[in-house]
Parts: sequence; structure tokens; C-alpha cells
Amino acid sequence: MIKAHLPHYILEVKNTKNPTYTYTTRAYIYYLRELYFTYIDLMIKKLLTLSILVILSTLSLNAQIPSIKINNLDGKSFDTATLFKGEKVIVISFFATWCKPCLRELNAINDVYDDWKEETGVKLIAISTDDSANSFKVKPLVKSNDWTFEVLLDTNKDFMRAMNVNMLPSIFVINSKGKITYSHTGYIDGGENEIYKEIKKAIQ
Amino acid sequence: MKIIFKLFLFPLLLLPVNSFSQSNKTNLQDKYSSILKYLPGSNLSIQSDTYYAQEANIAGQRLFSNNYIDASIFNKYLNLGLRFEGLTRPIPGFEAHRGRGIANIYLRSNYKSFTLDIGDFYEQFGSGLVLRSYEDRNIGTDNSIRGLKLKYQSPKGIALKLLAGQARNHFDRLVYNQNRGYLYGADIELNSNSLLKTSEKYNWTLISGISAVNKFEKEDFIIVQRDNKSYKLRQNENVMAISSRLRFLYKDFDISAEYAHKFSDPNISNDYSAKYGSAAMLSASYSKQGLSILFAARRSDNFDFRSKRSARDNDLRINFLQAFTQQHSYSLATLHPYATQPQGELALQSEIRYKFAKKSFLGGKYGSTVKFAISNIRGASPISSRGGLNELFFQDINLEFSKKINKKYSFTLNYIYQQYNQEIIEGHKEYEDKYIRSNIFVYEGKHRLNNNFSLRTEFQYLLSPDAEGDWIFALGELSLYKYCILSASQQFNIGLSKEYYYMYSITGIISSHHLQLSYGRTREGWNCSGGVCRYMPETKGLFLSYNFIF
Repeated sequence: MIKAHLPHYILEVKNTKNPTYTYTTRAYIYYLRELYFTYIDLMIKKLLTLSILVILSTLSLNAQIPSIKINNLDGKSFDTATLFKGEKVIVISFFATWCKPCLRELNAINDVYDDWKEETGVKLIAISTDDSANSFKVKPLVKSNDWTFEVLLDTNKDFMRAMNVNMLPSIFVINSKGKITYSHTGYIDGGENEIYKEIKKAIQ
Repeated sequence: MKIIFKLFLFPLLLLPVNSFSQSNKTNLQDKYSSILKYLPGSNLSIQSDTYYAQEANIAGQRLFSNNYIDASIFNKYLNLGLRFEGLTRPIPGFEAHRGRGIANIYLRSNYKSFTLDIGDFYEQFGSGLVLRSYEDRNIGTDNSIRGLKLKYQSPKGIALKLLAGQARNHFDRLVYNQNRGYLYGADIELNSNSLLKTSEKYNWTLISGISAVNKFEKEDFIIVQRDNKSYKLRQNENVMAISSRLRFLYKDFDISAEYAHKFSDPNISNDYSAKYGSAAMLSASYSKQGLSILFAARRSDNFDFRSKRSARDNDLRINFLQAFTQQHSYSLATLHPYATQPQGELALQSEIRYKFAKKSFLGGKYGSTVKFAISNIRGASPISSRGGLNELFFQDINLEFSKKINKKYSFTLNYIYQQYNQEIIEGHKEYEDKYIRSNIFVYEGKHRLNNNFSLRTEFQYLLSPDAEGDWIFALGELSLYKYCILSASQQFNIGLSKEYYYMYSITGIISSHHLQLSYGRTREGWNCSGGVCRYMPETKGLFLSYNFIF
């Protein structure tokens, strides 16, 4: 079987009138190399990619908040890894001043935020991802909308990148141990009720 | 077959594993909490956009896609992350970004007040007048810096940043491109709130900072024409830009100012002139509950700062001049977007927001908000090749009123007036008059039909005596059971061109998965984000976009 695949590696021909072919060890080495590059190399690459994906997916079980330093509206610095400390449950929402669905979501939550706090003790932290040239618009927005939750500025998008957020709005529910128990992208009217269910789950 | 596997099956491969981990996450976490304690934290996100064109392009291609995977693992002290970008055949408009590979890889270490970054990083000094590296996928810009960054942030209110490296230019390097230059910079910021006791006592804050950036680039062979003679241009290999800034916060007031200066930097945008560049910015705001007023002004002159003298478009920018205009989300208001002219402009913008209290005459039961915003941009450089002194580049006046009538219905009314100088912004004029004036009327209504259904409608009318004439736009968006959005939009011209554009889409959101399938025709034009624009050719076909984060 193997020999049938080896026309290129005929190395010794004895008796030219009635030829018989013998394959040297070198021919077999060539063959094995070919076999490796055509099948095994590809298989190893595929297996590697697959295992990396599996590892990454299982690692997402341990999703939590990375440590990044970001400022609040008054220029004070906070470590994001300590945001959940001493809280029963927190909700982190990434937004931007120009993002309409984000503002709809935050306004909708703001309307029911007092009830949420009373019933679950939840703390909402909104993270503005506006860059530093635009961050001066955040405080006026917060004040004019009467938002009562905390707002932090992630002007260099460090926190946003560390959480791998690439769509706005993105929301995370984080339990008292700092583990992310729920995440959601995009906003559909009434979506705040879904978040509230997840907050209740995170407390239990 | 192979490309189909890569485009569609690859993200799907992850679906079951993660959906499983989603639903049983809390249980699993409890069960294995003792093991998980020793595992590092991790995050993963995927973005995949695919476009299937109805008609093949010249090369006979129909299928295009942009794919991004971000992954990071971290513990208390270390954070290792990478981003894979797959744009072997990118969506039309992203051609410059063609390539595939690990575009971004970094190791960040934290120790007490120090942060050290090795690899690709993003940073901005002040408001980005001298340095701003950032990523914006929608317009395909990424000028991350590959090198080293050291950050020190003391609890006493001193922040120091030092960095050195080479900026990214699409996929033109494996590790370091020797044909290009590099840059290094430093920034220091002091915050009085933690430094001075009186500051904390009387509740005022003063933040001041200084930054400097230097770029190095070897001398090129450049021929310039002066007085009908050709000369070989002598170039300085080092170009430095410095800036200083001050911000003062007291009660409801917030005032900040920044001034930047750039030393002689002959480059393609200033026609290889050796003159200095400068930029100044001032912003002030007053805000209290229900009311906010803000004003900002910026003047820039010869302030295009890039890693390469001959770089064009959005390539290799070191600094970033944010567009000083309103960021609109209504489609007819983005028909003629403004792009920053760093060669010389004077930009002013102002915004007033007021919320009528609940139970007042205009407020009604739920309150209502009104917003008035204006931005005006004029030429500021007398010798610039584009636009004379005081010539109007762009103007935008916007009046918005939104009100919630009852639990089931709320609406927003919007009037926008725009004046767009095509000659300056696009570099050519298509019509007799260089100005395109448009009056845009927008109605947006939100109906909560019941707990599971809600409807959003948009009607826009653009009234214009110039360019193509009047446009009409209508959109309906139905949300079902919080998991699904159906939307349809129609945009047609009733003036000169009679063009018709449409888009039908269905979006599914299941926790952190976001899948959108749409079919339609889009208009060619400029897609802008924060003053940086990318040209988008016309497209017609099927779009599939998938997003996942965790």
C-alpha cells in the first residue's frame, strides 16, 4: 500500500532489463515527511485551534472584572477590580453620550432604580466610553437627566477593552464575589426587566 | 468551502459551549469554586461581519468579511491579551485594512501604583491634541503603539506616563517595521484634590498637566516645487509636539483649557512647509439637576501630526482632533458629515439641555427634555491651501424636544439645520454652489404595545435647495419578547437623483450573543466617527453580523 504512493522515491534499480525497485530508508523518510505535511501537520493545527477555543470557552466560566484605573466625574481615580467590594450585587453598563439606545436604557433604569435599590440593594455603575476630548459632555448629560447612579469615565477605553466590549450598550451583572454572572449587549425596550431578573438571580 | 467554514461555522462552534456555560454558569461556579479560585479570570469576545454582494465585483468576488476575536486572561498582577483580525477579503471600504494575523498582543502588569505595558497599547495625553492612539472598527482605524509604556499613578494625585514604540499601520509589519520611524513621549498630571488640603476642604479641584511627544523618521527623498524650480527637501528627522493643560472644577462649574505647539514638520498635508503648528482648546460647562450648559472652542493651525510624512487618509495619525460637531444618529442628519480639517479651522460648539420638571406645565406627568445645540466651524489659516481665513466650513443647528406622554408612548421631535462646504470637506464640488444647505425634520415615536411588544418609528424629511434635493426616510422597528428585533427602513430621494435605498433586518439577542441578518442597499458616502471619515462604496446584498462577549 505504502509503496504504491512512492513513485517519486525510486532510488535503486537493479537489472535494467527486468527492473525491480527497492526503496531505501531515505525514501521512507521522505514519504513520512510528505505524510506529515499533508495530513498530520494540518490535523495538529486544527486540533490546536480547537483546543485553544475550548480552553477559552471554559475559561469564560471564570469571567470577572480586571483591574484598571479609571476616574470619576471629579477626576478621582478608582480601581475597577474593587468596585464590587462591599456590595451585594453590581451592574456595570457601558455607554457613550452619542449612543441613543444607551441613553434609552439608562433612562429606563433610572426610572426604576430606586425600587431596584430598595428591593435588592443593587448598585449601578455607568461607564462612559467617550474619549477625553468629549468627556466634558458627560457631566452635563448626567445632571440634566437627573441620573442618580454613579458614572465613571473610561476615556482611554482601557476598561472597555479589558472587558472585551465592542458594542454599545453592554451590560454586566456582577455578584458579591466579583464574578460576572450575566452579560448582555444591545437594548430592546423593556430589556431592563430582564436585567432585574438577573440581578435577583445573582443575589441568591 | 474553506471560507464558508471560517466565516460561519467558526463562530457557531463556540455557540453551544458558551450557551451551556451561560445557563449553568452560576451552578458550575458554585460547584467548582474551589478550583476556579486558582484559575485566572478571562474574557472573550468575537465580532464577525459578513457581506454577500448581489452582484460580483470585477474580480468575481461576492463574499466579504471582517472578523475579530479578542481574548484575555488575567489575575491580580498580570493581564495577557490578544486580538486576532481576519480581513483577508474585507468588506468594501476596508480595503486598506486587508490582512490577517494577530494585530494586537500585550502583557500588562500591575504592581501597587505602577502599570507596565509590553506590546501593543493605546494611550492619550490630555484631550488628544498631541497623542491619541485608539481603535475604531467602524471606520477601520487602529493606531495602537507597539513598545513599552510605564504608568505611575500615586494616590496623592500625581500621574506620570512614559511610552515609546512604533505605531501600527494596518498589516505592514510582523514585529517591527524598520522602514518606518518610531515615537516616544511623556505626560505628567497633578490633581490638587489629593495634593492640597484647602482644595478638599473648599471642594474645588485643579488638574494640570504637561505632555510631550517626539517622532523620529529617517530622511526621505522628497522633491518640492518652489517658484517653478525643483528642490530636494531637507527634512528634520525629529519632530516634537508639546502641550499643557489646566482644568478647574468648582461646584457645578467645569472649565478646561489646553494649548499645544508642534515644531517644524514638513508633511504632505501642509505641502511640505516648515512652519510651526499650534492648537488651542477651551471648554466650559455648568450643570445642575435638570439644566446643563456647555461651550467649547478649538482653533487649530497646521496640526496634522503623523508618524510618516507622506501618510494620507486615516493612516498613522499620532494626534487626534475630535470633530467639533454634534454626533447625530438619524440617517438623514448624517448624509453630509463633517471631517476635521487639521490644516486650519476654528470650531465653536455650544449646547443647552433643560429638563422640565414632572407636573409642570410643559413637563406633564413624566417630565420632558429640550436640547438646543449649535456648532460652527470656520477656516483659521490664511495660507492654507484649503479654505481661506474665516470661510465657513460647516454649521449645524439642532433643536430637540422629547416627551413621555404615558407609560405606552413617548416621542422626540428634532429640527436640524446644516450647512456643508463640499469644496473644503471633500476637496471638490459637484454642484454650482459649494454649500449644501439642508433642513432636516425628524419625528421618533416609541410605543410600548404590551409587555412583550414595542414599536419604534422614525420619520425624517430633508428639505434642501442644493445638491440632490429632498430626501424622505422612514423606519419601523418592532421588538418582540426582548429577544428579537424586526426592522425595515426606506430612504428615497424626491429631488434630482430619485435614488431609492432600503434595508430589512432581523436581529436576535440571546444574553451575550447578538446576531443580525439584513438585506438591503446602502448609499455610497462618508462614514464618520468623531471627525475621522472613511469612504464607503455603495453596497447591495445580504449582511450578517455576529457579536459575542464574555
